[in-house]
Order: sequence, then C-alpha cells, then structure tokens
Amino acid sequence: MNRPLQDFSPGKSNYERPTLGWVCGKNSEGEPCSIGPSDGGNCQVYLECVPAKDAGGYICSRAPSFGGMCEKGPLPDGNCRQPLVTCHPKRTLFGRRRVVTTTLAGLALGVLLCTFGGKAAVRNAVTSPGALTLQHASSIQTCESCHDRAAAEFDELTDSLTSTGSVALADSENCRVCHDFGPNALNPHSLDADVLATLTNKAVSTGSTGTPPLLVSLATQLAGSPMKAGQLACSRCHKEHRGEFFDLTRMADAQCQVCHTSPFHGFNDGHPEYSGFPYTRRTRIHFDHGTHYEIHFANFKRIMPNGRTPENCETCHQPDPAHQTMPIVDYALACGSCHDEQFENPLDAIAFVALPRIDLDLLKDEEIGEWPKPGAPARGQDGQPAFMQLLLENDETWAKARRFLQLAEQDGDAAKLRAQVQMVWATKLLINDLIQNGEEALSQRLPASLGDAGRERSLIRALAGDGAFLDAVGKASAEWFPHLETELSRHDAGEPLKPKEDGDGQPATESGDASPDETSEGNTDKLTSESHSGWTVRSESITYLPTGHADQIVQTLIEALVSIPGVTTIADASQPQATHQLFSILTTPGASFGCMKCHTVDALGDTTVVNWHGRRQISRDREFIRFSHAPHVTLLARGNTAEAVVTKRECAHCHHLNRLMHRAEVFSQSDFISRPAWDSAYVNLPEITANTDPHATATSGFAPVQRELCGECHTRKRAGESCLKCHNYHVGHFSSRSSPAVHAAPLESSREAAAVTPDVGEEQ
Amino acid sequence: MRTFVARRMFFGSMLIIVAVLVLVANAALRVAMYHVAFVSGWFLLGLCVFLALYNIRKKLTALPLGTSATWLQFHIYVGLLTFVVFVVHIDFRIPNGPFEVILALLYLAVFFSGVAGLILSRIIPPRLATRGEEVIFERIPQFIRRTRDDVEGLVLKCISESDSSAVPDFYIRRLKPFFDRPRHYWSHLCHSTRPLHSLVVDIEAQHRYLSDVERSLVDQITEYVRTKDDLDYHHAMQKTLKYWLFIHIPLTYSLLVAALFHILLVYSFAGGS
Repeated sequence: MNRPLQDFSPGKSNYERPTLGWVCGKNSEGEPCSIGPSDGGNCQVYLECVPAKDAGGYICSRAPSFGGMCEKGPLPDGNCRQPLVTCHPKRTLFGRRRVVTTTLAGLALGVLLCTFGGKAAVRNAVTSPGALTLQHASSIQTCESCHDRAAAEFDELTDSLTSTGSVALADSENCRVCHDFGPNALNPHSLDADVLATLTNKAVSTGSTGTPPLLVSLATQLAGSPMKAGQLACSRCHKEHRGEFFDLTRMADAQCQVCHTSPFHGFNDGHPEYSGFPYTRRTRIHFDHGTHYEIHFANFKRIMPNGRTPENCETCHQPDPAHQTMPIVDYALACGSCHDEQFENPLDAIAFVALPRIDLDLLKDEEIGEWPKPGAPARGQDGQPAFMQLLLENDETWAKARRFLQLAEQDGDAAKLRAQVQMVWATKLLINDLIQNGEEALSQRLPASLGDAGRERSLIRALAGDGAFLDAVGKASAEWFPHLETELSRHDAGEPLKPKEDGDGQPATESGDASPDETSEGNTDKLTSESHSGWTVRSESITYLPTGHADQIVQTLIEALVSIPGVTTIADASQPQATHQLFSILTTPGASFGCMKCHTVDALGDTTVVNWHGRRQISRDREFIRFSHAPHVTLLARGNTAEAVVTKRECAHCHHLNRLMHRAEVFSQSDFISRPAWDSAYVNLPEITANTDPHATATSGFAPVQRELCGECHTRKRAGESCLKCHNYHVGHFSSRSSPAVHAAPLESSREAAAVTPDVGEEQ
Repeated sequence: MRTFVARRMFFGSMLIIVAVLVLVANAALRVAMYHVAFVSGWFLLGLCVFLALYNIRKKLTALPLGTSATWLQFHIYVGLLTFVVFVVHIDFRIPNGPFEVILALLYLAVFFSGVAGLILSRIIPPRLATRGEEVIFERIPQFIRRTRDDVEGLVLKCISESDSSAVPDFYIRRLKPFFDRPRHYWSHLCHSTRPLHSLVVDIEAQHRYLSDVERSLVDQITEYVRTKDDLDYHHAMQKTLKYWLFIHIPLTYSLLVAALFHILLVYSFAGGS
C-alpha cells in the first residue's frame, strides 16, 4: 500500500486559507513556495526564506512544511543561498469566483444604467411588463398615453422613490381621456361622495345579514380601506399588461365585498333580500294591470266595441335595445283602440275665448257697437273662460270692469252697467289685438305667472304655431264683430257707437250691416264654423277639442300649469285664480280629455315634470343592477311549447300580478290628484293635494320580485352568482352605456331627455 | 443536540407554516385590492439580502454572529421560502415583459442553482468518504505531482533493472497523460469506473510481455494508478462542490442589481398606490 498522501503532523501542514485570491503558480506542478503571492497577485519568492540572524551568523528560516532548513544555510552576507525561481501566480477558485461575480454584476449594472439612462423609447420597450389587452393595443401606440413617467429622464425616475404622491392616481386621469365615468370616476362606484355617504349610512342602519366570509374579515383587518383620500386608482382593479386576452374587468366577489358594510357568503347565502325590486318608483303612466285584466278586458264588447285585448305582455311591452326594461309601446298600439274615443266627445271641448255674458237690454243705450245675440254657454264657461281671464289679467280695460263690478254691490245697476261696457270693449280689444298682433299679443298678454318662461313660450308657439287658433279668432271676429276695426277706431276717436235695433227688437250694429249670426232658434248655441284643427267657433265662444292623443296644445298648457308654484292650492275658494281654475279643468279625474287620468307629474326639486311617456332607458345610464330579459325569457321558454315561446314568454314566472291590488282606493283616483273622485261640478273647490312624489304610490299591480326566485337558477354551479353578473361597478350617466370607451361629449339637451325623469334609485 | 431528523422536521414545519401564512396574507391582501406586489416584493428583497449576507458572514469569522452551520440552515430554509414569496409576487403567472422575464430567470437560476448545490452538498461528501484518502482540494495537484514522481521513479528503476523498454514505452504511451493532470471528470461525476478499468485492463494486457521484475514494478505502478484515480475522483467531486457556486453567487449579485432597477421602475409607474 502506498504511503498516505497527506501528512498532518505538526509543522507539516499549512492552513489553506479559503479566502486567498492568489496561489503560487507552481502549485499546479506540486511545488508551491511557502510564501505565496501577494494580495495583488505578485510572486514573492524572494521572501521564501528570510535568513534569521543568529549568534554565529545567519540561519535558514524555511518552514518545515516546505522542507525545513536547507543543508548549506544562508550566505555569509545573510542572503538565501537557494536559487530564486519566480512563478506566475494563479487565482484561486475563490479569486476566480470573485472576478466572475464582479464582472457579471458590473455588466448588469452597466447594461441597466445604459438602458434606463438612454432614450425613453428604448427603455420603455425593454422594461415593458407585457403585452396590452387587445382593446388597448389597438388604440394605444405609446407608453406615454397611459403613463406620465414614460417619457421621464432617469433622474426624474429616481425622484419617484422619494415622492409622496400617488403615481397610479395621477395616471388614472389618462384612463379618463377615453373612459368617461363622470366627474367622480375615481370614487367608489363613480358616485358623488355625499351619495356614497348616504348609501353607507343606510347600509349601516340596515345592519348585517350574517357573518362575513373569513377572507373578507381578514382582508379588512389586514389592509383596511383600499382607498387613498377617498379615491381608487383605476389600476387597483384593472390590471393591464397581462396579455392580449386578459379580462380587465375580472373581479373576485370578495373584492367587491371588502368595502361593503354587510358582506356575505354568496347570493343564496346572505345576499340582502330585494326591497321592492325592480320597482324604484311609481310608474310614470298610471295604469293598473289588475283592473284592466279583471274588469275592462272582460267587458270589451260591451264598453269598448272597437277595443283590442292584448294578446300577451309583448303586445304592450317591447324590450329596449339592451333588453333591460320592457317599456310600453306607443299609445296607438297599446291604448288607442280603447281610449281614442275619450278625445272625440264634443261635449268635452273647453272654451278658450268667450264673449262675456252681458245684459243687452241694459246696454241698449250704451255705446258698445256690434254685439252678437247671446246663446247657450259652452262647457266650462261658467263665467269667463279661465284662459281668457289669463289673457285679460293685465288688460287696463278689463281692470276697470273688475273695479266697477266691485262697486256694483254698492251702486247697483249703474256700476254694473259701466262694468259691462268695459267688458265689451275689453273683449273687442282683445280679439282685435289677437288678430292684429298674433303671437306677440299672446306673449304680452299671458301673465308671467304662467309657469316658467320656457314652458310659456312653448304654449304660445303651440297656440300660434300653425295659426289655427288665430284663424279661429279671426273667424269669430268676422262673425261676431264684422266691423271691429272701424268700431275700435271710432271708439278711440270718441264717436258714438250705439247698437242699432233691428226688426225683431235685437240690437244690431250701427253701420246697418247684417249680423252674420242670424238664427231662428234664438238662444240655441249654434256651431257656426268647425275646423279639424280642434278649434271651433261657436256663437259666443271659441272652444278647443284635442285632435287626438298627445295633443300639442293641451300638452303644453298642462306643462305650463303644473310648473306654477302653488297651482294646486288657492287662498280663497270662492275666488279661484284663473290658473287654478284652468288647472282644475284639465287635471281633475273627470276632466276634459282625461290626460291626468293616466299621466303623472313628478316634482323634482324646484321643477315639475309631466310624464308623457313611460320609462325610457337612456342609453347612457348605467345603474347598479344590470339585467337583460333576453336570456332569461329564452331560458324560461325552453321546455314549453312553441306557442308559449311566441305568446306568453313566461313573463308571469317572475312578475306576479297582484290581482287584489286593483281594489285599492289609490287606483280609483288619478295618481296626480288626491280628492273625492268624479267631482265634476267644479264648485266649492277644496284644496287639491297634488301627489308629485314619485315614491308615494304603488306600482301598476305587480308584486316585487323576490330574491329566492333569482336564486333558483343563480347558483354557483348553474347560472353563476358572481357579483358582476348582475351588478355594475361604475354607475351614472356616461357618454356610452355599454362600453364607455368613447371621448366624453357634452350631452345634447332635448325636450324628450328633459321630459323623461330619471329613475330615482332606491338608494337615493 | 438536536438530531438531524429532528432539526429537519422543525425547520421544515416552520417553513410550511410561514409559507402558508404568506399565501393566506396574499389572498387576504388581494381581496382588499392592496398592491400585494409591493408587500411581497419588499419581503422578497429582504429575504434575498439576508441570503446574500451568508457569503459575507463566512468572511467575518471574528464577529459573534452565530455559527456558519446555523447560518447555513437559515440560508437553506429561507431560500426555499423565497420561492413561495416569488410565486406570490409574480401573481402565479409567467412574466411576459423583457426586463421582467430576465429578472425572473435570474431569480430562478439563483434558486435552482442553490437547490442543486444543496443536493450536491448532501450527496457528494458521503461519496468522498467511501473512496480513497480524503484530501484537501488545493493540495491535489501536489499529490498528483508526488504520485507522478513516484511512478516515474518506478519506471526508471524498471529501465535500470531490465533490458526491456516495454514498461517505459507503455508508460509514455498510455500512463503519462493520465498522471500529468486530473482526468476523467465526467466519468467520476457519473460515478463511473470505466476509465480505471480500461487502464487496469491495458496494464494487465502487458503482463505477458514482461519479466518477473518488470511485472512486479508494474504491479506497483498499478497501485499508483488506483491512487491517482482516487485523486481524480476527489478532484472531480470537490471541484463540482466548489464550482456550482460560480453560478449561484455571481447571479445573486446580478439579481440584486436588477432588483434595484426593478424597484425604481415600479415606483416610477405605480408608486404611492
């Protein structure tokens, strides 16, 4: 056996230091020197033996492990006798590793410094964290589109390490360039802070429905609120740079719940019960399904021979483009077959202008000029028509008449006589003014108290627009006062204008012209001229009958009236104001045309809005709840017969008609007015309570949908129960409803948009 | 003194517990829409710095910082923990940007080289103890030199004691390259004795041509061949034990440099969140 290779006896084995960077170059040959290289890698063989001074001279001091003292010893001068053979020191393993480490780290540092300190485009290309989603990749060309720092220099980047501001929040403004979520986009749910506070307080007061999920509790305790100064950066929820097909809107249900005061485990495990869903307000069109189905449709042939019974729900309700709501179709399709007749009763015509009732015998000696024979008054002409009162409200001559009438109580016939004279001339002046000045006369005569200025203008335009009303006034003038202009000029000049008596003892015009209204029936009111425009000139009045549903004049008049503050109340019941009187004529349950029988009025702050239409989904609205009828109806129709698919569509599966509701008293009255029904006498007008609260009354006969109904299908394994399946996060009025990724544009004001009241949500 | 098994059980359990806590905290913070990457990133960086300190600790032997063995244990288990934190940090997905991919690859190279080193440091030492004399790696060249000198002495003796040049010829043709430097690295790494067997067979094939004296000397040379082969084995194994750190340590510092720039980038584009 060979002798052992290593000798560890004392003095025979040097310590091989592991941290030495250099080793003698002759080590690989097996003959390393005893000194070894310097730290700088230089051979130090000249130091292998430094002879030590002894008493007799010098002695060799070579280490025993390297051979010990040489035989001959040092030279007499003290130098080593051994031949000096230098080597080329080599790096140890440790030394080589240190070189590699330093080189690699230095290379990395250099490359990164060049990259980060170089052009921003190169830096961004290298440091991009990944591909954008397809939606963004197609429209975003540079990093600067979303990141303000993308174009920053290196020193600006380093500043970010000490900056206290939120870069993510600042960059969120870049998202809003394309994604319009309103002025509160970064707030939770894009809602105003006050609204959020209201919702939160309501949720807190409602209390929790159960124990929160463990993860949500843990999250709340660990991290608290994710908001910074009440705002959430877009990148908190929407993670980009995760590939082309990453779903930016993906959110876990627990993430939704971490901010909510009442978290729950699942839709069928703790989700709050519905509260009146989907009804957040009363219907805009007052309609009772129960009454119609139970009573009216059953008596069709008797009471509405021309009526058509709806075949199914879709006869009257058609889905909006998003299939979220089922708004009612046009009146003509839904209601016209039965309700058109209510606009055709001539007895419902309302007098707009009428000749005052004067005593011609009393005035036979007075200078009143021409005046037609009195006939039967038109409906509503119990006194001066309310609209005519409005036209005369600011008339000086009519004011005189009113003063004389007040005096008539004391002075008797004399004052009455003078009052009637003034009334005659006021009437003539009015008619002449309307003929001569048309729309301008209306503008000047109608009082400013007739609703807001815009609605009053709309009314004036409706009256004067097609000229029908003014034509009727002209015809009336021709029939009542054939020489009106002459009379007025003579009256102004102070010339006498006593009425003549004709052969039958009736007053006639002084000019001797034949009276155009010559009837043998005497007091019978005769329709002297008719017009399909709705205006009818009668023997003493001009009446109006709507041309049909959605009559423009009636609409604008009602809108003007409902906007008058306090129009529903009067100070003195015996002296009703003209506006109140007109309002009563048009809005009481048995009123002419019955508009307010179906159309409700909403009070919104300082303004009122007449609901001429049912709910119309504004395409730019996003609400908390997102629902589409389409898949639900299709799924429900499966398994049924083809007939069911086409006809019934299973609406009743979710919408349960409460057939008892139609007996509630509330449905026997107009939704707008609350007063004893069918008070058509219009006397002793009590205070009218207008119901303008959208939340005040019930729905149109359907019971609210219950959560359990939805829970039958919306389980984890079936239709899914994710929060985002049914709820939107960003809610509000945006520029695009389905995908608000267009440049925000100012909303165009439109009469329809203004007329459709927004849904007042449950939370609000 | 805790046994090896007990120590492994203890540290392994602690590792699992901490890993589970990391995962739970990650899940909770994600639910809270917290920027988990910030938390996990700083945690990961701290762990990596701690791991890198081990190399420094080995050089500061004079300071009372605990034993190297203890540090090594922490280094191993904290290193394994960093994998969990890393996976959490990258959100359980594969990074797909150039810089992030490089950063991830750097980390994975460091991690897996560390795991490889751990495996090697557990496998190789017992093997070294089973073969030949345990030698110090830095002295192997000296031992090879000494062995070569001894063999060459035998060859010269063979020349002087016999008239044949068979042995010297054979030595120069077949054995000298073998004795010049460490050989058969990959074979020894695979624990193969094929090269040795081949040499021994070649040597024994010369016996028929040798005299008794030569045969005796060749038998001694054969012993030196075995000794040299053992030295080669030790050289291969110890070289592997030392050279894996050429991957692990340089990449570690490169990783730390890249991480600093990563931090700069993150705070520039998502800071203050």
